[in-house]
Amino acid sequence: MKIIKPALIATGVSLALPLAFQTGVHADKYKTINWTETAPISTMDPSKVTAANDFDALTATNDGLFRADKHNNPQLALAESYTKSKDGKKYIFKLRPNLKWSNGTPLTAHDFVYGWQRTNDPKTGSQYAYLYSGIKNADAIQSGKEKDLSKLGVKALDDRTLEVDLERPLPQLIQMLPMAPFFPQNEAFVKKAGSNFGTQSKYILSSGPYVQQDWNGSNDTVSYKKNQNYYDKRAVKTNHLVIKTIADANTGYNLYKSNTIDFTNLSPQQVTASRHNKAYTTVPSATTSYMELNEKTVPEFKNTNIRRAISYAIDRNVLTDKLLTGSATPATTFSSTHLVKDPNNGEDFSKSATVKGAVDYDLPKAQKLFDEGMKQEGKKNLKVQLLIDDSDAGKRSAQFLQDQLQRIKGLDVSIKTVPYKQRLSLTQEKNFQMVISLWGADYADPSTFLDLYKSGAPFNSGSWNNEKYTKLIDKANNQDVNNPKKRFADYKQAEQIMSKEMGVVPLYYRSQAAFMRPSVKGMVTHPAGAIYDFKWAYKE
Amino acid sequence: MSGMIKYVLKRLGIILLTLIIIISITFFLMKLMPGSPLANAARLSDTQRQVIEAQYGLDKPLIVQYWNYVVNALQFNFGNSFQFQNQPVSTLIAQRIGPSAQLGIQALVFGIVFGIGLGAAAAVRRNTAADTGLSIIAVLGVSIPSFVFAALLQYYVGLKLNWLPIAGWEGFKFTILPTIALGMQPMATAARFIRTEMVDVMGSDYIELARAKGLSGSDIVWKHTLRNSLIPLVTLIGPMAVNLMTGSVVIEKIFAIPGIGGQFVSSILTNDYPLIMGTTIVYSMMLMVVLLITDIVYGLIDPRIRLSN
Repeated sequence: MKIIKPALIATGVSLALPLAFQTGVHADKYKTINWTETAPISTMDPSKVTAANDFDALTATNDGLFRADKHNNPQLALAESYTKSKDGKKYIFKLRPNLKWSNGTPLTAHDFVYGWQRTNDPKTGSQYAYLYSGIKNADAIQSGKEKDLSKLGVKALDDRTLEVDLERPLPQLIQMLPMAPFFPQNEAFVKKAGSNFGTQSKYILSSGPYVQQDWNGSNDTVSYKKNQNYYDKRAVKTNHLVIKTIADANTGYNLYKSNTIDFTNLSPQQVTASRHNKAYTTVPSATTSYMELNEKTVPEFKNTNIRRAISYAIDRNVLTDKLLTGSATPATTFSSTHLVKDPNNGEDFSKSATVKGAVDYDLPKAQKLFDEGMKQEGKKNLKVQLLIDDSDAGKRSAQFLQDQLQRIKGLDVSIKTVPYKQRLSLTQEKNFQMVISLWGADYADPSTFLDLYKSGAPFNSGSWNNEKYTKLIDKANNQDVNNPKKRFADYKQAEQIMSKEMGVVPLYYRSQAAFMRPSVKGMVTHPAGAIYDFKWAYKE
Repeated sequence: MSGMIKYVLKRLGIILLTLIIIISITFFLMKLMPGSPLANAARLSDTQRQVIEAQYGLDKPLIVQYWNYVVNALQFNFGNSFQFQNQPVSTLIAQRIGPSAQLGIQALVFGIVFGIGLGAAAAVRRNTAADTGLSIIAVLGVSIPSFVFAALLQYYVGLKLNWLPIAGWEGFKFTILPTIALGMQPMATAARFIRTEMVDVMGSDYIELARAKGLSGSDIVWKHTLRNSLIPLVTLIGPMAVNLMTGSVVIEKIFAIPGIGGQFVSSILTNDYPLIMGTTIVYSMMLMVVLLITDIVYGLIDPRIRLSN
């Protein structure tokens, strides 16, 4: 199905009556979709969201200035047009006329100003406020240096005109606008709800395709109805959507087989038996699993030959096909697949930036590089510890990597398993030797990956230090920032340096194997941000 | 009776003391858990982090946090959850404790009723093939974990035979499979226990006497043997309740039951301190109250205990 671009059906106001009739017909035509998530909703507050399934629920009930289409390209949504200044530091968005919240109150540019200010207000404690970095005074407000929220670079020029001022050009700005932390929030409603805002269905408003019905703050089955005040309600075919929490993969499988639900995630064990089913699908996610080698705790990891040896000893195909079946594909870059297209050649950026043979399996080469590196370091044997979390994928990967790496003579690998949260804090404290990390894109731009590994950057946990790499990232963010082709060329070159020097050791790109009932059509999935978008989905 | 009141008051005092000890141990164990309760902690500015920490009282010295926590917890004020933002932990637990309690009680009743039935049947037909068969069932019931039963029941009874719902919690029908899965262990325990007790009682002098007096077989079994064998069964209910509570965490996940078990597990994985504490306290309290009730009941029905007390 081709997705109807919001811009094409912007004005239907004079036809309001017959259209309303028509949508009534539509509502009966399509069945209830019974979807599942693996965790219950924890908040419906766009400023406070962190969990993936909460992003889905917020995206079902809201729209931003832009909404991502099925190719994950942002399309105008609540905004009908926008202009960007030549220096890339000022955007003016024009909202569609007669926008309404689900309770019928007008939705205006002031709602964006309020929502954005609220997210940046340190008192709100938004854990995604960092996305605003680069919007005028966002950093100063979040750090408490600027107390006046109205100094944030977002202003309502009138009810339908929103001006956004930036400190520096943000090529990823439009990519981020479909995300929940950039949704509008109605000041009167939020203030009236007070601390209850976003904690139950009755304490939220919808600006998007659906209205949430019956979430009491902790129940596991939540239903959604079409939002009759949504500007694009004609595109919404489903009148009733139910999302259940099913945490156990076997339960999901049985429920799917009994026709109770229309979607369920599959575990690697289930994939083998399900691969040829018509309902089998994989949902790509812009997430890379990679190994970080800590140069601070293992000085030998400063040696490029040793880092490369480790990478060459890993047969990634075995890992993805035999152990993580259905949930992984071999990685050749740090930036994930399905992230973004390279404007220079139209290819997926990860493919475009892959250096042939740089991330590959070649055990003799690994041994040779290792011996060379150890000779340079004046050492004979290297003993290292691999830190992992106790997730299923973590344990499977670690045992495999241990086995693979110990085929290098002189390299001894032990495994340290800790809970997920501890793995994160040990990594951030740089208190590890090798660690399997996982990074998911915030938005469709290489900066979401590659900026992490600038010299001295906070997420550069391995402390890999490459001057040329850092210079290229800075160039992409400064002199080439308004030239997408040059900017991507910088990122590509940086990615290639990283691959050749093994700044991190890419392992696999993550995806999610699932059953989705073939009678459910129009379902849109995104590799970053909200994973599932129900706006255009319907069940025959 | 005043002796009983004194006894109950004494026990309530012990419960309170135990609770304080549990709160203390959990509090400090939890503080030792590495990692932050915030999902994106590394991305917060210092000011943002300070604001959030102040909201949850995490900015105060540990000993002050501890004192505040004990005082609030004893008034059932567990604070707000991290994961479910701005939601009071007491509400989160109150909204989900119903299904957990229902499942626990049903499983207990199922286990005891069927356990007694099976045990009595085996005792009456002792040393026959039926007895051996029942013993095998009992051994399997005790040794196979409840989640294995759950998976088997769900697949065969739910999916293949389509007799009962696979998962969910939308009416009594939905509770049957989880009740059986969770009740297998108490059933097997009770059955083995009842059989042993009844065989014992059947060999005792007063049963011989009843038989000599010419009472009918069924009178002997039901009025004299079974009734006297039931008394010690009450002592088993305490440990059974413990098993049910720990078992229900898994059963709730498998059958997608909106109870506190699944919520408890996710609170531990996300370092949701207030929710971990709240749920721990609620679990401990339920357990201690069950133990207290069984002790009281035991005292009421067994004259020997009543007298010695």
